[in-house]
Amino acid sequence: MSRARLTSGLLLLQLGLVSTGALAEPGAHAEPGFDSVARGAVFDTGIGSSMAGDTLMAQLGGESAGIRLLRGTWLLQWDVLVAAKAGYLANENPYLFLLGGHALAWAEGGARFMSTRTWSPYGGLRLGNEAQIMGHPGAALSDFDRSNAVDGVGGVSERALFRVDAGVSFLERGRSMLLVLFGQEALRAPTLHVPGQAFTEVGLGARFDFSRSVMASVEGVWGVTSNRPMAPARTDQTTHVGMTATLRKIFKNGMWIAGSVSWDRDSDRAVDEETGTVFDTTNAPTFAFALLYGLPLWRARP
Amino acid sequence: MNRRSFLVLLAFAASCDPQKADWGFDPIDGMKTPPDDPARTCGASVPADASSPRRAACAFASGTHASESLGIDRSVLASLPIEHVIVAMKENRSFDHLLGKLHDRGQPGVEAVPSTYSNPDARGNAVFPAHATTTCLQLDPGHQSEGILRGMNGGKMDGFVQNAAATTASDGAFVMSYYDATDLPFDYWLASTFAVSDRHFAPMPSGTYANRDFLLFGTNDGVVDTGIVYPPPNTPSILQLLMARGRTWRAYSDGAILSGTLDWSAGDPGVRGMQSFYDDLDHGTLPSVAFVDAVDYVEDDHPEADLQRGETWLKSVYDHALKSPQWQRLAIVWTYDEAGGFADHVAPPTACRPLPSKSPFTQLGPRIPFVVISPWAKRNYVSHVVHDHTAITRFIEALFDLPALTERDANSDALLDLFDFSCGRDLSVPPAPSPGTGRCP
Repeated sequence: MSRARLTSGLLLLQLGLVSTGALAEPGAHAEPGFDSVARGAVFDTGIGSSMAGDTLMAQLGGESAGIRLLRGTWLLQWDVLVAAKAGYLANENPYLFLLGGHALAWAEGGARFMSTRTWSPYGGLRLGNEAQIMGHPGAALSDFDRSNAVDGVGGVSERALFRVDAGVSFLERGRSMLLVLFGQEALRAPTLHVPGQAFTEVGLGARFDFSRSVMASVEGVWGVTSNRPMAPARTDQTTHVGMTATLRKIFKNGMWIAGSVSWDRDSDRAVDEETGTVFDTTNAPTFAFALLYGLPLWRARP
Repeated sequence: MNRRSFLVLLAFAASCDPQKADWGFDPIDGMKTPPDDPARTCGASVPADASSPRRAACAFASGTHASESLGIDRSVLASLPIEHVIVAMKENRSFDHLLGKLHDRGQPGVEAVPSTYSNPDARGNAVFPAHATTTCLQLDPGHQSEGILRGMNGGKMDGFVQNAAATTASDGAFVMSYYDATDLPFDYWLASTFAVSDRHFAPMPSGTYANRDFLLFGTNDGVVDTGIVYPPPNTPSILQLLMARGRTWRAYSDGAILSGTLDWSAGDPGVRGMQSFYDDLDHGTLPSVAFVDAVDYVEDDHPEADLQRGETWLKSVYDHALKSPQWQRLAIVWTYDEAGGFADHVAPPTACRPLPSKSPFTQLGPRIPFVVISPWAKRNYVSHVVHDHTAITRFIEALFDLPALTERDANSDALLDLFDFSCGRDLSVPPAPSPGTGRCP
């Protein structure tokens, strides 16, 4: 790593620490009852681009997302969402209307190994799954094999991940920061045109709970698949790079708004087995921007 | 939003689009085309096609070399005197529409349009083929999968007028129009002087992108209707196969590159303007395979283009080729991507799956004009062998010993019946007429 990169990395880290007040009050002790939870009905709408085309989507459902300190040591994070989803995929004229359901659930349990300290080493495990079924009214899902590819937007798509992460946790007076390095297996179920893929990934994640009401997170990931044979006489290895960022504000009455942005890109290295010729290709990136409005269905905790 | 507005919007989106894929073809610009091999000369004896029944049964898998699927020794294919293929693929005309009078005008071996062939209009009245009154039709019938399938009507080939009526502000009768040699003298001359196929079908019943994808990938790979949809850039292609074996290609156009099929633009690897193409012909520096596309909607024959202007473009290609030092080493394939919603009377057959066990696209689309222009092309010859664009792919694979991309091209004919490589033939060609004029008011 170059000195410049190291310096900029440290600056970023320092910025995060300052943001959470860590440097302001060194040595402070963790607060045992920390949590920040958004829970209720949600409506979100977003635009995006994908390999299948540009999208305009909205969903209506319920979500529970948050972070909670348990018994002073265990830090639990989760996000569970079930929603009806509808929107348009702009891959031909006229645009394709899609309607269906979307569910995601992930949970991460981690330990603050020095639970009485504001700063603590942290280790966690995360399991996650996301599934989506989107159809076109009046058509069977199997009909998508006779239309332009809708992979990742229409039809059935499912992803799962298993993550191990390690880093540091800062916790004090309703403020928290998690900064982790992680390794994960990210699985993508096969779609109509893309075979199933298993990525071995590493990444860096940061979550800042500036207070119980304001949260920001950012995460970057890089990973590869194993080499897989492809006809005619070649192998192909896919590399994935992605980034997500989320900002959420919970109001006193329990309502919340959130904005998220993500960017992902897959690249492939195809090697002709007869001649050894290498082709490095890169898919058009997948981009998504969404705004979410949440309405609590339960009374907010005082 | 009409199609043109949609495409303009697409073009705008593409021009400021950071979303483009990278196809990994950067090395092509630094590659040198292998020098022409003097050992490739006349005298290759192509045996009778004994493998046709096996190909019809889709017996050959992707990866199969042409020597195996055609039953021709590799050394014979390696001796064929063609080392440069020019694919001049134009847009959106059916065989009956463009060359419907070829049977009566110089090429009696071509199947004539039956006198009984008609399409009912919306009221059920029969619309018969009629001489077009203009070479610049201002109507563009629906020609994506829904429209073409409506036109084919399960093989009856009688739904084109109703499809056109439903998708244009007209009664749809114009899709039964035809041209003859008085309109398109150069096109007719090419089709009656060189080798023409009257059984060349679009690879699938749909529009530009999907059908052109078959040429490049041996499959449509998730592309059905033209829109914002492209195959993944890691899809194996004839372009990759050529480069992997040290062969070169270029995509030449002053308009939409490959008619927009891959979202390429000027400046992308392998892309050149038409002047570069003419220079390469003039200087004998052609790549192994040249894909040339006329300016869209102006000279590519896509409605509303003037077909006579399209003839002028094709004549330019021909004139430069004829004078090229590489004339004796090249073959020009002049064809159309798909029939564009214009009527054709021949029911398309089915073909092998483009990808193993997965793709439902086995139905070919309506016939399109297809002519091979080369000193080695048989003269005044008509092929009745069923082809689609993957036959061009297979021809390239046969010339350069490349494996098949998919089952579709693996089991395709390779156009060799359109050629005569024997020694002692008179390889000169008669003078060509000038392109037509004056039919576009």
